[in-house]
Amino acid sequence: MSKLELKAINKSFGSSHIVNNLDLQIMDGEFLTILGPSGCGKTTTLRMIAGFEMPDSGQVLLSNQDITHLPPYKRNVNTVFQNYALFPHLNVEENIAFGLHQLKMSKSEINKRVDEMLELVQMEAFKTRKPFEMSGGQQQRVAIARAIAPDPEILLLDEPLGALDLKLRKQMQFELKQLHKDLNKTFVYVTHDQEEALTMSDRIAVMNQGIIEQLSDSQTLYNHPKTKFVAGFIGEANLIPVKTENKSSFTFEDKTFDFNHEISSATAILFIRPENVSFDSVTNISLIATIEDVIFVGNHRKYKLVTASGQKIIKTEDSSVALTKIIGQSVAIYLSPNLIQIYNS
Amino acid sequence: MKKIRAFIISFSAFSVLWFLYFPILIIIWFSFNKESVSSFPIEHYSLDWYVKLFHNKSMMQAVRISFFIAISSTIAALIIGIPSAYALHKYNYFGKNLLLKVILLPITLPGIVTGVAMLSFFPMLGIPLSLTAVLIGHTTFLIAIMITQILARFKKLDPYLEMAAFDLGASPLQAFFKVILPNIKTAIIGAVLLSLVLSMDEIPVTFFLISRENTLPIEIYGMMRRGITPEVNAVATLVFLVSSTAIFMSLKFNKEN
Repeated sequence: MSKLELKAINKSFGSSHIVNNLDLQIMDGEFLTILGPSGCGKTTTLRMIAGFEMPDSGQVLLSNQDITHLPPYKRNVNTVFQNYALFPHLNVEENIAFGLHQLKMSKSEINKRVDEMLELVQMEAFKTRKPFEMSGGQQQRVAIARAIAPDPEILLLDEPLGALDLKLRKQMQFELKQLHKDLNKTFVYVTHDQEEALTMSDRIAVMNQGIIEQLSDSQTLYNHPKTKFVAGFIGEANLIPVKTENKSSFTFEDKTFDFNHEISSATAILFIRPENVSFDSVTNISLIATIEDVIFVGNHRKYKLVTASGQKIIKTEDSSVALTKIIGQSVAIYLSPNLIQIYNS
Repeated sequence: MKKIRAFIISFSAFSVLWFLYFPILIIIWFSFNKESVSSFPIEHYSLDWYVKLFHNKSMMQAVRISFFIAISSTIAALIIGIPSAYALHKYNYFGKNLLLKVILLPITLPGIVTGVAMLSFFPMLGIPLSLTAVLIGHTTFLIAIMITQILARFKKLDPYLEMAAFDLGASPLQAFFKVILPNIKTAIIGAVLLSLVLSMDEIPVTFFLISRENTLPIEIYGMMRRGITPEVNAVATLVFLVSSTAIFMSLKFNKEN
């Protein structure tokens, strides 16, 4: 069952079209991430779900109820803001109780709920602290507790870990995922950090220039990117210009490779992950490249290869494999048809 | 060389301050003089002039009027100033920048211009020269103080706080009273103190709009025309004390964030 549905949403600011005829269905209990570069429209989309922006056209449905034009305070969704936005004049307890007071809950119910929330985010000891007396990570936990306390139908998270340092960010990713599992609540998470998206989400919507380029789970997104943009945005990718004379093959450096595709233009972009490029024994049909550099990157090593025409190709391999190649050496490489994609250039 | 330059700078700074504040110190000193002639050496100290001041009926009446004008014009400026500052901060509309400059006019224009303008304009509206006219006159320039002080705090306020309040179910009005107001409170207190002081010692605008009842500064001015009595020293000392305390507190509140 879909918890939230965005139907044909359009939003412009002045002359710039930020969100372009966007459709999105978010399932009940799902952890969905909207991932994209800055300016892609992801935050605007989140704000239209929260009610801070109204779409120019289209519909927002929450549990099949049209909430398109409801103000934020009449929507049963809560947001965790990037800069926490804790109320500086209230302590932790009062911050968490803010939404509960709005629901006209009794004092004893509020106290009980606040204690539950403090326990949930492990902040019991900070109950009477003011926001400015806490670190960024602690403030973020309180902000999460405050947003969850009124038991919203959806929790919206707007780059909530953006201001934290790397180590804390990794820990919070893990905790947020755990929290999602424990609460069984629908999370909509907005980020530009692909690793964050891949780690936590059930599904990821990759957004670019106001449209969703691909909506799928992490593995599909990584292994089978649907568009050139997704391929380049998620993980590392080799994007190589090739010639496409017919729909059953493509040509690169005067060598023709059999491959069925749907491209009708004369040129296209070949995609392959660096870890999927493999060394081959030299034959008359194999692709030849020179090793320009070998870089050791901890658990893997990276080869910078360059072909006769000057095309750069990156190959990675596990560091545990014995290093047998040297810089300057000519190697044959193999691009397995199962591991490549071809996009319009 | 550096030391000499530092010495010259601090010497000139202190000279200027000395020149500005020495007369005030002298007045405070003379206010405790038992004799009615203000001259050195002072032979006997006493609080006689203060006692006399508190028995001066027209002076006490002027104090009451000044307090009344200061408090009511500050309240009026507050009621108009807070929503105006909020609107100026939050919304963009046609003529906003012009409006911002117009609001500042009453404090940038010489008081005498505002005074004369109001003197000729108020009767047209049917407002006679009276304390009401003075009250309106003071309110116009206190609004400028309120708006500039409070607007400055709004600009420092995190816009996400209001969004968070909406998000958690607060209506715009609730968000204003529960979140925005507590966070601009110190700026408001600072602006109120400053307004009270400015209204209390305002002369030019008041001078043109007043009828028979005098405010404190006008009363003092009147006394001076009959010759400087040590009573004036006493009242000046009290005004100085109250004003400087209020200004000091106002600065303190405005610095707080």
